[in-house]
Amino acid sequence: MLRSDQTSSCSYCGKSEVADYRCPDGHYVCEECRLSTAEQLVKNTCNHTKETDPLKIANLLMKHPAIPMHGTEHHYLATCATLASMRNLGLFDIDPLQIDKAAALARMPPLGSCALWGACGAAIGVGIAFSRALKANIMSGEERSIVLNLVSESLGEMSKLGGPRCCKASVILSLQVARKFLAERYGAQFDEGNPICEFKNVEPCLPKSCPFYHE
Amino acid sequence: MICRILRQSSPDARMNEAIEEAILLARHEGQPLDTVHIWQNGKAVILASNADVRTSVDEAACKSNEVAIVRRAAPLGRTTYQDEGTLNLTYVIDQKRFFPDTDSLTEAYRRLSKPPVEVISGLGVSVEVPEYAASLAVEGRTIADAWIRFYYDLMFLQLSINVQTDLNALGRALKQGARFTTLSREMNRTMEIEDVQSALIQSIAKQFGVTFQEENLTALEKKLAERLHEIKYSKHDWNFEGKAPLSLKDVLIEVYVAYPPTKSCREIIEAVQSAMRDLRDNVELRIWMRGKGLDGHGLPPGMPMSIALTEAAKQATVPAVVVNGELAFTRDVPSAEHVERKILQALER
Repeated sequence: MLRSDQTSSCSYCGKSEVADYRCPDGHYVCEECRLSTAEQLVKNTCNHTKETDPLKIANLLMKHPAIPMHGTEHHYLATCATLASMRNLGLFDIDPLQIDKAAALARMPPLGSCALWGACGAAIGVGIAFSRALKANIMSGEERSIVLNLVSESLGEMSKLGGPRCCKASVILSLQVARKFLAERYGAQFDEGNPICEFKNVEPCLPKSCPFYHE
Repeated sequence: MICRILRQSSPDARMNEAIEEAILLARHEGQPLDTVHIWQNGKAVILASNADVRTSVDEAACKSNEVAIVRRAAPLGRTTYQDEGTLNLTYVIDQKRFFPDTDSLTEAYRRLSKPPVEVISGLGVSVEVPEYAASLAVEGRTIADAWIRFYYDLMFLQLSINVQTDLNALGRALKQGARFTTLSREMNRTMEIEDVQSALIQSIAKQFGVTFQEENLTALEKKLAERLHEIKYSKHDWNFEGKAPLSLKDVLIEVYVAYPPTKSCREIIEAVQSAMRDLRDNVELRIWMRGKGLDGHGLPPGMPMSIALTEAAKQATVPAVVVNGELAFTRDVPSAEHVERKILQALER
């Protein structure tokens, strides 16, 4: 880290202010974001980002030290990143209240819900995001089916990956399913190519079977 | 390569464990040479740092037979019995310096176990080469126990060889059902500790190409050993409950801040440093940076965090100040006077 006295924008919330430190590539994280809890960080970032790719939003969030390698933070992270992406693509009006309510729902799956419930919180998290955007409810027809399909497809991809669990891989897989749906249904365009995990070599990691692992 | 050899034994098994830890800490503090420590205990049961006394030791038998119950700092390995017939060999090495050609822990362990394997095999006893961090066995009966721990870049490996250990006393002291043997029993004659010790030193010198420099404990090691004995190894809390003191000093302040530290984080650090200015002999300060470990240099192996600090990290409570394991300040920056009052309160306790 380099000491700085230049005005910079926070990589997370976008706030522009005089930076005390910047990384050698010029990135800055404001004081508020450096001190944030995981949930504050996720909501604040997703309320302010202009990024349209949910994977890029998630990747930035997962680099923050408030997000542990594994944990329930990944559940609402997947939800909020998806909602922010849909808002920035101009597909739905997503306000901070929507993000708050969706995050509250996505906090419900417990740690290890993948194994305990048979439903990973990140997959459910993508379902929650689409449910809110599409205003799905128990009486809905197509909207309910879309949400169910997105969750089941995400879970299917995770089951193929095998274990032990990796919350990073689960977020990436769920958001890939979300991206595919957004591209097919709404014509959204995202970078092609397989995502590369930036969190490799942190135990336990599955270098041989994980499609996102690269040396 | 020059290596230090120490032959330092105390009749007090608790002091011996304190010496072991002191050698490791002093090596980290700048004692320049890797050390081979050859030593013996009086009658003692030695527990792993995470072992349960109640399930592995017959406390009543130990009491009536005057067998000391001592907990070691290493977490691995099983509970063992030692007496003057047990020869202990400890390596305290900087693995990168000692084995520059490999960073594999398994390989380092295999090489360090080779001298005792060679000595025992050289006597005609067929000893099984151990897996990583496992004991040495003869036809399934343990002849040498081993345990390992890491502290920063240092590797600590102890092998405890049953030369003529009293197996009857061992059977009375331990509750576990593992089978043990001794070198004397395998050889059908009394093996002298001194002979095994000489063979072991020769083998180590040959295997690793080291020249031994015979030394005594340094002043720092003696000071550390006495302090460790006083606050840790002589205490019931450690030996029976596994509760270690947080620091060698009277008060430990753990400050948890963002990386890089924000304005409020820097103010908290300044307040703490100012408060402890005249109390440095009694107070240890550790500054943990979220996502960057101790002082921004990662999470050093063997360096514990208090439960309160772990909880603060889990709850993302940044900044936070923990005094002797209790969360003292969070977020709002305290004054130096306020911090000093907390330190003095902790010192009074």
